[in-house]
Amino acid sequence: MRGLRRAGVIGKVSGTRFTMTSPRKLSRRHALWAVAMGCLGAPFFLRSTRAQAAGATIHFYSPETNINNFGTLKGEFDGFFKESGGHKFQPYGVRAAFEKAMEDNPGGLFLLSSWHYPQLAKKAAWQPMLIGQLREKNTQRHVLCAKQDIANFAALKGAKVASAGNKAFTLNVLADLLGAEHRALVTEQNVLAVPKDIDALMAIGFGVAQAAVATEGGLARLAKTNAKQHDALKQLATGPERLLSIVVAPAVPDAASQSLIKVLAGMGADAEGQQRLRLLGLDGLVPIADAQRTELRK
Amino acid sequence: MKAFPQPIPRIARAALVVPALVVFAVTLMLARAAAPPAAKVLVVNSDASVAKYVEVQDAFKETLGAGRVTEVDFAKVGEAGVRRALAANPSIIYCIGRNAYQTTTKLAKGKPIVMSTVINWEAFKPIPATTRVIANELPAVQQLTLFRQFFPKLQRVGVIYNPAINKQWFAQAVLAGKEVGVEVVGHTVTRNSQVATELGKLAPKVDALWLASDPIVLENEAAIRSYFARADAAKKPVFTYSPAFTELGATLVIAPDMPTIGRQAASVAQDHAGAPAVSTPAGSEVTLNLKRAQQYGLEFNREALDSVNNLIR
Repeated sequence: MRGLRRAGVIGKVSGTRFTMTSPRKLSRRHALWAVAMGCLGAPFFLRSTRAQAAGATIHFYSPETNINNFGTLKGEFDGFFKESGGHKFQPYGVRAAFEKAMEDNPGGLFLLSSWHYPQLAKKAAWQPMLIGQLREKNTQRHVLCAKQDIANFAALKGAKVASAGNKAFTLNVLADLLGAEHRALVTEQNVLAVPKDIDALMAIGFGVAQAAVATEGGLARLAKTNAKQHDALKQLATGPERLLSIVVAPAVPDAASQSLIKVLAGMGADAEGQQRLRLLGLDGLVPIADAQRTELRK
Repeated sequence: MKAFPQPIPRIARAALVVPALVVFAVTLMLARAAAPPAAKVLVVNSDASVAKYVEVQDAFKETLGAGRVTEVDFAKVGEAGVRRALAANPSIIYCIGRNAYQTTTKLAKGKPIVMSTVINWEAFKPIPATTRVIANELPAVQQLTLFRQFFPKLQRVGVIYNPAINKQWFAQAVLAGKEVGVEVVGHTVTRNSQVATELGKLAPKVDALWLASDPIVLENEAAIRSYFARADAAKKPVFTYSPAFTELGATLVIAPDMPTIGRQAASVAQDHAGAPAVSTPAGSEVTLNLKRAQQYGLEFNREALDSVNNLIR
C-alpha cells in the first residue's frame, strides 16, 4: 500500500481539498531481511547468469517514440527469449548510449530506426539483416494534421507541433512534410514531444498544440476510436513512405547472433512472439530485400 | 592566354581586413546587446524524493537547458531556502507539487509562476494573471478514447462519485462517452459507507468500473481495498487514473505522462504571457494488466500494445 501513499491517491477531504499522505520508510528489519536473502540467493543468481551467457543480446533504441516502456520491453523479450536460446533484449533511452553500445559490441545485434542507420559514423560495419513489418508492409507514412482553422503551411509559423518522435526525428519528418520552402516555419522550440501518436493528435483538440505529426496508422486508429476528434482535424500533408525499423549485425555474425536473428525472424509467426513485437509497433521482422538495403545506404 | 591575378600588396591586404574585422566585431556586439538575456528560471520541487516530481523536473530542465535553471528541494530547504532562492530575482518560477506552490505563491507575490503536479489544483484558486497551470488529470475524453482503443467492445462503464465534488466531471464524462460510443453510468454517494451498496447495484449493469479521483470513494486504504475486492467478486475490471492502483488489481490505468508535463511546463515558461491559464496534460502513460483482462474475459486489441508503458502478466 506504500505506492498509494506515495502517489497521494488516498483522499482526505478538507473542503474540496484532496491532499497527499506522507510516504512510509523502509524499516531496518526489512532491510536486513533483504540483505540476508540477497546473500543466500547470490550463488543461484550467478549460476543462472552463467547459463544464460551463451545467448546474444539485441540492443534497441528508437527516436520515433517517446514511450518509456523499457522495463516492460526488457521483461517481455527476455521472458520470450528464455525458452529460445537465453538471448537478451537491451533497450536504450539515449541515442549516445546506444551508439556507445555499438562501439563496445562490434559483434552485437542492434534494432534501430531506418532514419538513424544512415547517420551512423561506421555504418559500413553493420549489415541490415531484418526489417519490421506492419500490416504486410515494410514502410509507413507520416501525416501532418492541424486544427481545421489552419488554412495552410504559412499559418503554422510559431505554432506548437506535437509529435511522438523525438525532436530531431520530428524535424526531419517535418522537412519532408513541409517541403524546402516551408521547413523553417517549425523550429525545435515548437516541437512538443509526447509519448504516442494518439496523444499528439488529441493534443490539438485540447488546445495544447496547433498541429501534430503522426503515422497514418495512428491517425486511422483515432478515426476508429474517436471519430469526432478525428473529424476535427485537417490533414495538411502526407510524407513519403519510410522504411520501418531494422535489425543490423556484423557482416559475419557469430553463432549466438545467428541464432538470435533466426528467433527474431520467427517471432511474427508465433502468437506469443508477435505479442512482444506489437509492443514495438510491429507485426513481424522479415529478411530485408536488396532494394531496401540499397535504399538504406543512400 | 589566361591572365594571372596580380598579388595584393601586404599593406593593401591589411587595409581591407582590419575594417572588415572591426565591422564584424561591432555587429556581433550590437547583436548581443539587442538579444534579450535568457530568463532565469527557479524550480521549486515539493519533495525531490518523490519519483514523479523528479521525472517532471528532469524533463523541464532538459527542455529549457540546465544553464537557465536553479533548483530548490522544498522538503530539504523549507521556506527559508525558497526565500533565499527568490532573493536572486528569477524571472519565472516553476512549482512542482502542492507544498512548492503554496509557499512560493505566498513569498513571490506578482511573479510569473508555472504550477504542475498538484492534486485538486483548483482548490488553490491560482491567480490567472500570474499563474499558469498544467492540470494533473487527463481529460475524461482522452481516458475513454484509450479505454475504447484497448477494449473495442466496451459499451458501458460505471462510476461511483460524490456529486458535491465530481458533478461537473461526471457530466463531462457522459458527454465524452457519447463521443466514443461508451455509455457512462453513474451512481452517487455522499459517504464512503454507501460505496459497497452502490457498487453492488452498479456492477451488473456495466462492462467495467471506472475508478475516478474522488475523496469519498478513496477515503482510506481499507476503502480502496474493499472497492477492488468487491469489483473482483463481481468479475468486473477496474479502469482508473493512477499507477498506484496497479498492485490492487486495476486492469487498465491511464495516467498523465510525467516527462510530458515537464516539457509542457518548459514550453509555458518560455511564453508565460501567451500561454493559456490552464493546459491539460498532453501525454498519457498506460498500464495494462493482461492477466486481469483475460481473467474477466475481456477481448483486448493487440494493435494497441504499442501504447503500453507497463504490461502486467
